[in-house]
Amino acid sequence: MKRFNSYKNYLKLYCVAFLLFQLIRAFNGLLISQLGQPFIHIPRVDPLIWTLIASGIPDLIVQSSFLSLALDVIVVLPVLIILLKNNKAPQWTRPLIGLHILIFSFYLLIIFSFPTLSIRKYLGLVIVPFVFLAGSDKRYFKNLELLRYYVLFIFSSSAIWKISRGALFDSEQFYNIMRAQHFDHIINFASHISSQVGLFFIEHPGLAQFFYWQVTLIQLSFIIGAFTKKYDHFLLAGFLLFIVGDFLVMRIEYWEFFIFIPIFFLTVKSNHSGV
Amino acid sequence: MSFIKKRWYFFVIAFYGVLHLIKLECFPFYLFAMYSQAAPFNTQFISYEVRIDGEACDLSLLNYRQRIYLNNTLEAYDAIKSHPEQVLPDSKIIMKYYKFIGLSTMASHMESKYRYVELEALMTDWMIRFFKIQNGEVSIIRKSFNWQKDNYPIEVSSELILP
Repeated sequence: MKRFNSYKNYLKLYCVAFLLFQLIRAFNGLLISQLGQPFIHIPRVDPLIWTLIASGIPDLIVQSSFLSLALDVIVVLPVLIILLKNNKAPQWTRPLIGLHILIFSFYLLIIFSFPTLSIRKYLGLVIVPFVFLAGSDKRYFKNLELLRYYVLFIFSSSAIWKISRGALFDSEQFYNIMRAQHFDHIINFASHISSQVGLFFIEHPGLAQFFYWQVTLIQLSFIIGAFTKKYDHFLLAGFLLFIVGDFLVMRIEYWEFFIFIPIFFLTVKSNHSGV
Repeated sequence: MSFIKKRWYFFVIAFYGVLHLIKLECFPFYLFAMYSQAAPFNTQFISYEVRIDGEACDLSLLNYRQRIYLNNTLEAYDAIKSHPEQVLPDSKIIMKYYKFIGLSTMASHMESKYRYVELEALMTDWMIRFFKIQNGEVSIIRKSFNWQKDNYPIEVSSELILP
C-alpha cells in the first residue's frame, strides 16, 4: 500500500479536504459573499490585518457583490485544477500551489478582519501547502519534518504558556473559563452536548481543574516528539483526543487540523518518487 | 545570501520567538496560548436579543457558526457604540503600532473610522441582510445577567441598543 504521506497522496488528500471545508463554509453561510456586507472590523492583535483594514481593501471587496463572489470562486480554482490535472500536467503543480497559498492567505485575512470565526482553525489549510512547494523528494520530506515540528510546537507551546502564566496553579481557572465560555450556550443551546458537559464541569470545579491539568499534560507530552518519532502514534491519539475533546467540552471546532494527520506517520523513510 | 537561503528557518524561528516575547501575532504566525491568561471569577454576563417587528428571534435556531458571527458582530457594535472614540478595545496597541512605524495619519484614519458614520443605520442594514428579510424594524436588546456560584444565570436588566 502506498504511504498516504507521499507527495501525490498527501497533495490529493489536501485538495479534497480543502474543497470539502470550503463547501462546509458555504453551507454555514460564511463565504465572503455570504457575510451580508459587514462594516464592523475586529482588528485583533495582528499588524497585517490592521494594515489591510487601513488600506480599505476588505471594505471594497465585501461591499461589492461581484468582487466578493469572484473571490469566493477564485479561491477554489487552483486547488480544483491541481486535483483534476495533476497527473496530466505535474509541471504546473508547484506554481499553482504558490498561487493557492497567496490567494487563500489573502482570502482568510479579508474574512478574519471581520468578526467571523477564529483564523487559527484554518491555519492547517494555510501551512500544509508550503510542503508541496518542494522540488525534490528529499526537500519534500524535509518540509514534512519541519511541518511536524510546527505541530509539536503548537501543542507544547500551549502547555508552556499555561505553566508560565501560572494558570495551571489557579484552582478556579478552568471553572471560570467554563462559565465564560458556556454562558451563552447555556442560555441559547441548553440541550447541546457541550452545554451539558460545560454545566457538569461548572457544577464540579475540582473535576474541571483536574481536566485542565490532564489537557495540559497531553499538550506538554508533544515535546517528546522533538527527540524521537517512536511515540508518534501516541501523539496522534493525543492530537485526535484534543480535537474531539475541544468540541465536546468547549464547543470549539478544529476539524481543519485533521489535515495534519499524515505527519504523524513519518517513522519510516521512504525512497519513493512522486515529486 | 546563500546563508539566508540555507538557514531560512533560523530567521523564521527567531521572528516567531520575538512575536512570542512581545505577545503579538502576524499571519500566519499565531500564538497558541488559549486559556492560559488568568480568568477571574465573574458574575456579570451579557447576552443579546434580536427583535424583528417587535418579535424576539429564536437565535438557537441559527446555524451555530452563524450564531458566533452574529454574536461577535453584536459585541463589536455594542463596544463601538459605548466607546466611539476607540476603533475597538484593541485600538490602543494599534495606535501605538502606527505611531511607532511613523504612520500617524493612518492611526488617525483608523481612530475616526466609526466616529462620523451613522452607526445605527449601518447596523440596521446589516441585520436586514444577515437575517435575509425584505423590510421590517430591527432592534437589539442588551441583557445583563447575574450568575452567582451554585446558581443559574438570572437576568437583572435590559437595555435597547438599536435603534
